[in-house]
Amino acid sequence: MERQAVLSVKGLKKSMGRKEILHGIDMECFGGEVFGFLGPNGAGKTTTIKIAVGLLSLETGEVKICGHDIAKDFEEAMACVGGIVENPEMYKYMTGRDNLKQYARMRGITDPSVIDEAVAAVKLTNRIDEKVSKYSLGMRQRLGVAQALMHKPRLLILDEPTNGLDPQGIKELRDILKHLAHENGACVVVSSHLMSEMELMCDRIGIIAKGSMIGTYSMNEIKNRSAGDLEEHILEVSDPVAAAAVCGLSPDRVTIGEGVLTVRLEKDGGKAPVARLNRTLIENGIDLYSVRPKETQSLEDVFIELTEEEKGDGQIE
Amino acid sequence: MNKTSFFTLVKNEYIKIAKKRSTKIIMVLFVLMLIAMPGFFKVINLMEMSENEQYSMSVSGSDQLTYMISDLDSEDVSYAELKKELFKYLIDEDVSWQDWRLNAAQDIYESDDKQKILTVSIFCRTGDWRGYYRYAADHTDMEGLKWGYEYMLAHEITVMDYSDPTIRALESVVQAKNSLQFGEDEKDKAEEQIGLYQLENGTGNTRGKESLYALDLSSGSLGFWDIYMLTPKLIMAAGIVMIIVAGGIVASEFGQGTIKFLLINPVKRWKILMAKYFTVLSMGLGMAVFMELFTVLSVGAMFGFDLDVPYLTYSGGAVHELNSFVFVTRAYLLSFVQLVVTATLAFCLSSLVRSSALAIGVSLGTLFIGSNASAILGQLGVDWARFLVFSNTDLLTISQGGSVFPEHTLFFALCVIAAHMTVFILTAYDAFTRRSV
Ligand SMILES: Nc1ncnc2c1ncn2[C@@H]1O[C@H](COP(=O)(O)OP(=O)(O)OP(=O)(O)O)[C@@H](O)[C@H]1O
Ligand SMILES: [Mg+2]
Repeated sequence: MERQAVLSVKGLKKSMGRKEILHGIDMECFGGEVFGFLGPNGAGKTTTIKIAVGLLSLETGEVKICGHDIAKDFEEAMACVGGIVENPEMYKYMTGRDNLKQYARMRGITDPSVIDEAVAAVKLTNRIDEKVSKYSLGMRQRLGVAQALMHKPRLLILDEPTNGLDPQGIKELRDILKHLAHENGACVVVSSHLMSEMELMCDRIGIIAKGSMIGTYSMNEIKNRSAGDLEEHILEVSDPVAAAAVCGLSPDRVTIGEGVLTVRLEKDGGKAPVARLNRTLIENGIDLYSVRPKETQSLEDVFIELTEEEKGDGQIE
Repeated sequence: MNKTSFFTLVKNEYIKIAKKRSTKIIMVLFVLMLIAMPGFFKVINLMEMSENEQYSMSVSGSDQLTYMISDLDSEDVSYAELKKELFKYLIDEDVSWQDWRLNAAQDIYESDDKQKILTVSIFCRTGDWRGYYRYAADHTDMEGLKWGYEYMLAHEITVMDYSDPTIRALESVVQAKNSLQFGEDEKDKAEEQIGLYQLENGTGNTRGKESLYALDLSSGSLGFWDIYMLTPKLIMAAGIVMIIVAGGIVASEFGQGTIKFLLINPVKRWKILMAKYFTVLSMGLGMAVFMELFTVLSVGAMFGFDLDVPYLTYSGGAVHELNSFVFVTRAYLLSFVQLVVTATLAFCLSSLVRSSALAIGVSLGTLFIGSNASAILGQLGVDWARFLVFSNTDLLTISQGGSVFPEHTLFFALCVIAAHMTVFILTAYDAFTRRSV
């Protein structure tokens, strides 16, 4: 059975002035997953999200949320959505709680404990009755998250939610989002340009660059892609040049450095190739001080690789 | 899905307004003003009253007479000795400043008719007021004065007590008739007819057309109605608050960046806009009603309640009685229309620009300059200016026929206002529903 997408975007185009900034975005996000929406600065992430939640007008294309077309059933569609777009601006002259009450009324929530739960989830209980003008950036971000998830939306869209959060806050947010997706079955869409944090949080990512969708990948796909069939190891040895000569590997698989030798070994061999190499070196009177695998190619590298040709020399368009 | 009700949206708007510190300050000032206004007049009234009491009891007409004598001495006036002789006699008699004889003395003071001076002197010395009134009525060219003397003869009035409403009504009829002698004038005609009506029907508790803005502070006899009649002017204060709210209610959401959180809710944009507009109007109306009630109570508490008083108007050749409450309320509502129009303009600007200060500033400027500019254009004979909205917002004046534009009817004014309001609201709607956030 085909799962119904919670957020489905088809052929989305957007122009501002003469410039077309989205050239036909397609993506589908499902319940139960954390979807990372990645792209370099100015790629069009915020623009896409704004259109999806009705902050910008929809011109060409179609956006459906929980099956409701936002152009036709705006209110039904928005009833399923919670979100933060860009900066978490709230009414500064009101307390955090008064702010949340505003949104609770708009969404027909009458039970005050719902607010308390949301506040507890973002760990803001101690400060919730203070004026927002006294909040730090991270506290405002937490309040924004509480606002977004208060009504337990089926689609939670967060545009750079970790902006301003401390490491502890980032970890907590990650746990909250994973919990909402994996336990409650919500669809969580998170935009960011910080790959490392997406790597820890997302089940699937969509990559956008220069207003076009490059592709959608599951986290496993990305990991495999980054790995290839060779694994790099860095050997700290007494004589790298001699070691390169005796190791028995073709020259394109070894790199000689200052006191180190970098070798690329078959991955499917497991740990055996390293052990073999070690023995060979000792037999040839070369001292081996340490072996460490080079960091596998990270998501960061895949991201840069994927968006490189789109971005040209790295200038922001 | 249960839809967010309009009432909820309005409630949210009210809470946002109420939580602002500036709102609280404005409201305190507003209430202080409502108490201070009648209080101010009460103090003045008390001061004047005690002064007037001393004045009418202790001060005789002799001050005035002494002054006139010294004046006669310093100038070369005909028959000065004859006049001085009478004035001295009156000083000896210690006549009051309200006595008819003081009036007679002033009458001959400027005269150079020996016969008249002698005749009037005799009337004064013999105390023959009838004779004097008869003589004065027969020897004046002024229609009003003639009528006035006849009236005083017929009603045996010998004391000119201006704190007595009858005397004031009499005075205003005399003035009106004097002017009418030199040409018909709608205003004088109304004055005359209303005065006559008051004289005929008992004058104690009626208010005439002009009393709305004419406060006689020096009489020391301010009553409930003198103060209460001012309230249609005070409504401006409620209007300014309304404009401040209207100018900020949309623009500030954009300015603060909160608009994103407002619009991410399951409510269509036009509903949010209409809730905001409704909030502005209902708040303005609420304040106006509160003001009206509060003023009745505070003025009543200070000056005593005096409720069942007819207000007189003149139209179509007849004098009409209208309950004064109805009159003031009507004036009040008509004044309110101008403020609603300006608040709508402020609201429209508010949804066009990001700065509340700009929307509020421009609207207040238009409120203060607009109607004056229209009036100037009107006086310069620029007839198309009648289609400008601010030529039509002073409904009170227009309904009384006082517009600078000829043939300017209330209906015409209401049509122009409706057209402008429609444009303002549609502009606000269009800007707000299509605006990128
Ligand atoms: N109001 C606007 N008018 C014109 N162009 C705009 C406007 N807003 C955004 N853009 C352009 O649209 C493109 C996409 O912007 P967007 O904010 O969606 O990027 P983003 O992916 O969110 O970037 P970031 O990671 O920096 O947040 C950019 O080139 C930007 O210059
Ligand atoms: Mg962005």
